[in-house]
Amino acid sequence: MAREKSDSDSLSDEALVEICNTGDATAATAAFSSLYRRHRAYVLKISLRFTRDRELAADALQEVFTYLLRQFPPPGPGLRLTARLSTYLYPIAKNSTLTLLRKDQRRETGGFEPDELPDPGAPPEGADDLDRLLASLPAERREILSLRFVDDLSLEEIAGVLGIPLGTVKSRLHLAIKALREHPAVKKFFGA
Amino acid sequence: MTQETEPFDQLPEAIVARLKARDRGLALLTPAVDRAVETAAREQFAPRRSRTAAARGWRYGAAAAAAVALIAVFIAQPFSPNDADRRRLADDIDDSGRVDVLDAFALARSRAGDPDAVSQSRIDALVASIVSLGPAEGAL
Repeated sequence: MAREKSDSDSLSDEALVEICNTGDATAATAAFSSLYRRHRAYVLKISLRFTRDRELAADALQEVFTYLLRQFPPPGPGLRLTARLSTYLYPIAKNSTLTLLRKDQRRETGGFEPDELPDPGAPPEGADDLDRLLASLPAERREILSLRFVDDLSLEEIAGVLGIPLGTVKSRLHLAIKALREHPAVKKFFGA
Repeated sequence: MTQETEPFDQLPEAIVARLKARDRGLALLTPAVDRAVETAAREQFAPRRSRTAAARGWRYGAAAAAAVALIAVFIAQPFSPNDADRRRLADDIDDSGRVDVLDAFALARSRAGDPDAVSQSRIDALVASIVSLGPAEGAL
């Protein structure tokens, strides 16, 4: 992908999506390139929350943007953004990663398919208690904490990207924070 | 996006920073994917012509249409003459492409052979128009 900054880099996601929908070949390609550069790191980050396999994450990245590309005509019907593009990309990135992961694990285990979110692996070297605790959180709780506090999504947006009711979002978030608050190694961070 | 401030929705900064750090350590360079995505985008959007090419095509098309229209006007002109042209066509007795004194002679010969075929007044009018038009303007 071209590294140089193009005019389309200064446009909003909504404008770039519109150019991808209706622009001529040159403009649409440049607009899609800008969208890719802008959201590439985010998609990789999401993917790597579910796997530590960088090759698999790169494959997921390609699948996500191939999927996005196919939404634009031709042959797609066009994309209408009703929310931030990142919230649109999150479930695609997650599902692509999990699908690739399941295929990978089927190859390795001869048919096993995990039902739950995978554990992306051990904490990094030099990790302290907090790192270890975060790494040991159930993936579902770590996911909702990341969406809320790292990705800075609203509760409604989280409900949207996860496809769950708002009440469930609140409940999961409450349980995740409660678990942290009650953990001896993390209590001190809560000032209690 | 921190409009909600309920107790379940707050996390100490130190923990947030650590969560963010988990993501930061995972940056990847993906040149192969970059190239693949760029190629896919170019191929998918290729059927849409670039605006420059489309404009160029439109200009060529418009020029061609104008040329055809112009040719059609020139071709059609003899077949849709105005009153003056009609008169000149009628007066070009010998079909030479111009109305001149030879046409007046031809008319006069016709009248000599058959006095009812053409009136003297028409011959006089033709001679008068030839004189007033002059040789160049008589051309069709």
